[in-house]
Amino acid sequence: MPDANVFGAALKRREDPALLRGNAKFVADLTLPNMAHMAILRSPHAHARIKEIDTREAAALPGVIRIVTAADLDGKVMPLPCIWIPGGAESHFPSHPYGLPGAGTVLATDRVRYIGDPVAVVVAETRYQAFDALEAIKVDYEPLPVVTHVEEALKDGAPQLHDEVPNNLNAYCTYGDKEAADRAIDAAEVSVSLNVRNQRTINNPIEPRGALGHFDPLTGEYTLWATTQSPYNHRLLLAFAILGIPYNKLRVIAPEIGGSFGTKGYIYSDMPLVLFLAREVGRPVKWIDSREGLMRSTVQGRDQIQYATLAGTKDGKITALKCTSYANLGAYPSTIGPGVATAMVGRSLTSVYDIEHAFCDVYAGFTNIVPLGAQRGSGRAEATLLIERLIDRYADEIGMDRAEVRRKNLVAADRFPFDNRLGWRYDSGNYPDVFERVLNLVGYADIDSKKEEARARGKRLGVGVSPYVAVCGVGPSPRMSQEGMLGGTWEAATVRVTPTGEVSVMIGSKPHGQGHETTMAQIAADQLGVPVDMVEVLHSDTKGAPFGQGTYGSRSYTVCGSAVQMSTQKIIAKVRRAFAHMNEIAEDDVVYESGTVYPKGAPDKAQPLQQVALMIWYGWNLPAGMEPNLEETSFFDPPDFNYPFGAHAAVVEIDEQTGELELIRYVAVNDVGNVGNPLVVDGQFHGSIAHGVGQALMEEAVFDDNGQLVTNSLSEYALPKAEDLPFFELERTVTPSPHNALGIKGAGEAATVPVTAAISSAVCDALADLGVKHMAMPFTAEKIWQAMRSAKAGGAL
Amino acid sequence: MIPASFDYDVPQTLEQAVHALTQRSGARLLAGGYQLLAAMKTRSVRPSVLVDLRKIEALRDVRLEPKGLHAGAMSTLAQVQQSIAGTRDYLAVSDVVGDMGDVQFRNQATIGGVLADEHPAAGLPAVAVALAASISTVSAQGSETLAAETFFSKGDRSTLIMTNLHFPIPEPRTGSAYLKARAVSGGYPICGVALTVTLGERGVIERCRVVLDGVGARAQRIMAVEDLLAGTPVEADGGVDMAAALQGVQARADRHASAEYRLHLASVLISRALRVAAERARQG
Repeated sequence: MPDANVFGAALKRREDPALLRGNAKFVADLTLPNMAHMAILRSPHAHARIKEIDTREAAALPGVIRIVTAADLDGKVMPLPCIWIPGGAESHFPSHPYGLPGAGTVLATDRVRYIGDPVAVVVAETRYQAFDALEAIKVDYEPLPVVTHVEEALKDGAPQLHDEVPNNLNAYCTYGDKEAADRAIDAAEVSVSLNVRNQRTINNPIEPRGALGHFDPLTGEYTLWATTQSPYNHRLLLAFAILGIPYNKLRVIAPEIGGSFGTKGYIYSDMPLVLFLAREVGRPVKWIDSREGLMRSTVQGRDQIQYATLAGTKDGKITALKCTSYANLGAYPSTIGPGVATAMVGRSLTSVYDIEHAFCDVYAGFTNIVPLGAQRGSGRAEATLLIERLIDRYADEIGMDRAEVRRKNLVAADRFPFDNRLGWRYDSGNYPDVFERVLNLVGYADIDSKKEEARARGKRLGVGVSPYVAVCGVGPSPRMSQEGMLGGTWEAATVRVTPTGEVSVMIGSKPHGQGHETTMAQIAADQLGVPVDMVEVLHSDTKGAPFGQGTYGSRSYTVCGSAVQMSTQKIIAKVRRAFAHMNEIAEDDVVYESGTVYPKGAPDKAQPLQQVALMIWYGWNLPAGMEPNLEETSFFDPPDFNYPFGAHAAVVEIDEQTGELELIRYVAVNDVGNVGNPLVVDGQFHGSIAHGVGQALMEEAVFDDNGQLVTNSLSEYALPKAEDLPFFELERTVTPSPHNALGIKGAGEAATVPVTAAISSAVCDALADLGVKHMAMPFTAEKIWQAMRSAKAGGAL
Repeated sequence: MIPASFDYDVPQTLEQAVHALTQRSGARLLAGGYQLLAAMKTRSVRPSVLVDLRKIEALRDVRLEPKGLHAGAMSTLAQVQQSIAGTRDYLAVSDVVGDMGDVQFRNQATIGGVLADEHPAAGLPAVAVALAASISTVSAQGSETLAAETFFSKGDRSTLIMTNLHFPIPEPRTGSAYLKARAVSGGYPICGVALTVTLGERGVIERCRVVLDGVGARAQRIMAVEDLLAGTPVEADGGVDMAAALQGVQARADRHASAEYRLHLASVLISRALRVAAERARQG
């Protein structure tokens, strides 16, 4: 029975005092003796041949220690690998000497393929000197034709980026049954089609990336401090596939990380470079990115164009869905980019609806812009926007209320586990419940009177409602391998009860803002029945932590948290066995309760865990074969994903005269199964919603036809600010997942998934009487004004 | 990025500052630094020397006087805000300053820095023109006081050091307001309207000054609109063909807004600012 004071309690995060006081140490805060600084020369061309690089003048500048180009890396530093190949599809990648799918060379050899492509690096005594030297490196470029739009890139005659990749097509993937979907659409009473675009977005964690490399010539050991979501994965890939050094000669440490949202789970050139250079120059080498650098070289998000058709009956039953999606991968496949852009979209399209015939195909292509990666809710948010926009169009077409159409098609609560026809098998849920709740909370039935009241103030009010489900908890390793993941996706945790009774939890997963130190401690404390303050959580250093995969795909709490739970159960079993032996009673007669052990029926003889732990560590009197320690490690590979779900409602007001939009209410009902810390979970919901609001209302990475990023700083790229957001109205329901003992589901990104859909629907609702059926994000004031104006003038939309 | 190498000078007096500014080519004044330092970090601006004005006490003086508001050029926006908190004479200044950046920004940015930088949508230049402020400067050639409007139309101002601003006491039955429509990124408006209105008998507009910012290359006074509004009742602005009056205005087009949208916003915001300012004029 969980103790509500521990598991489920809204404990304040133990991470926060150090963060709030400025004591937390990020990569930029680290200084090693005799440390040198690295700066990266990046390509100013989106596509060009490198004819010559002249570093002589730069090398002679004050403080310059070493300048390195691709020629210096030849045979020493291999290209970056890609480890998520779209499963079951023919795919083409840049080459890698080990036959792995490649993700491009560490420094450009003869060609650059996007503005920001690394060309050379300078190591200097100071960061200033390194930057000054960059300006003195002369590169002779021969510009080549540029392509920035993915559909253009896939056409015959388009500029070709990679010799190994014909027609820039990385992969063509299909999901579902095409023939059945086609037949159902042909036979349907009604069908609607729509072109939906998810614009490219730029992830902006508060901390840009950084890396610090160290090499010890005596031991031959490399150490990397870096902004990484996956220290162990990156250790493996860096050692094995890039540097060609023994795995046990590389230690990776992730210090405090200021957010990621999907960007720091990737291997970037700077990581092998600081290690290689640390050895080359015999000094630690540090590289810290800037905001502008982040915007032009860290993986970006979304960027999908979809053409889709939805078919159904005249009375609102959806019968088929078909979609062709184009994913713009940018210039290179990022470490896991191709998988994110394909399966996470294609398998998620039917969302919470029971749609018998569904099919999706995805073209993932290369263009001359920044590589694509994940962004919070990746794939699932794009899929949800598409199905929700289609349902609005369908409702309009058959003249039925939008909520009523959704109600008719939601998967019923007694249908779980539910096969969504595209490859996901939803574990548990109650979609109609959350949907009705959000309708009630937002006052959907009474919205017309709100609209009238707003009209009297010169405002157009609109409401949009979107239910959602999000595949989370990556993942079952065998299943992920079918999906094309080159690597395991389980997680590990060691729990140690010290001789003095304190508990150390060592996790393979690692935090970058999620609050692992608090929430994992709550799991262990609850399971063991000890005060949460007695539990410490250690992580993020491959020298101490058990092998793990990292934090992404809303997996840490459910996959690693379950490993913590398993290890605590092993601890309890061992304690019971030792106690039985020491007291000469049967193991079945031992009771473990609230951190104490006692013979059944004799709670007065209870011993605290601390005391039994000490006796086990002494090893004086243990059962035959029992080892003298109280430390257990577990590896948890979940039987399947988990599927958090919910329903969100957005209310917007649009100024009739100016088109300015205000998000006046945001109501969210989320279900992430059992909740270990509601404060942390609600915080994740807040951040997730803000991310979606950003994409819906303002964010957009704009590249010009030359591949130049126009929105290259925070003066040009809009992010949502506190004043752009209403007070979030949150409610939770609890439907435990059957796929882990704690009944928990991923909570880090699910609430991003329906936001663009709910807001898009609200905007179209506000403009419905003008005949506006669909608009592309972001919904800027001028775009809305133009839509209102052309609608009033009778223009077609 | 990080800036290219530069020298740094902190003069203690105005004379030293004038000397430092004229001594080397490529010298730039530092008056808060929010624009300049950001531009230097991208290396799009590379001053030879930064002449920091923060130690010159005379430039930090801000006070309400019988003749109006005196603000030393190095007064922070927060100081200006505080100095006018108790009066209704400069509400357009409160409108614009209160909505600029955040608390940290207002504690660091100076009124002279904002005006000298004269970002096309900074708000304050438009308000200074609308409120008929005057700006005093000093240079190697001597000192000078100019109407804000004249100051901004001066060509090269790189050798001038702005010393103070003066906002006169408004006439009776006068109100002012600043309204803007924000761009989603950056926070600069795509259109701002600074406006003062003096009411005559029975609520008729006796005089007004209407200044746009964010629309053209700099703050621009729109005489055609002022003439059109004079003599009309405030409530009847709907009868004024604002769009026609704005036809001659040169509006910019960029990725934040088209020229036609900026002009449309101008017509809407002028009407709205007029109502706010008139209401303030009535309340006195």
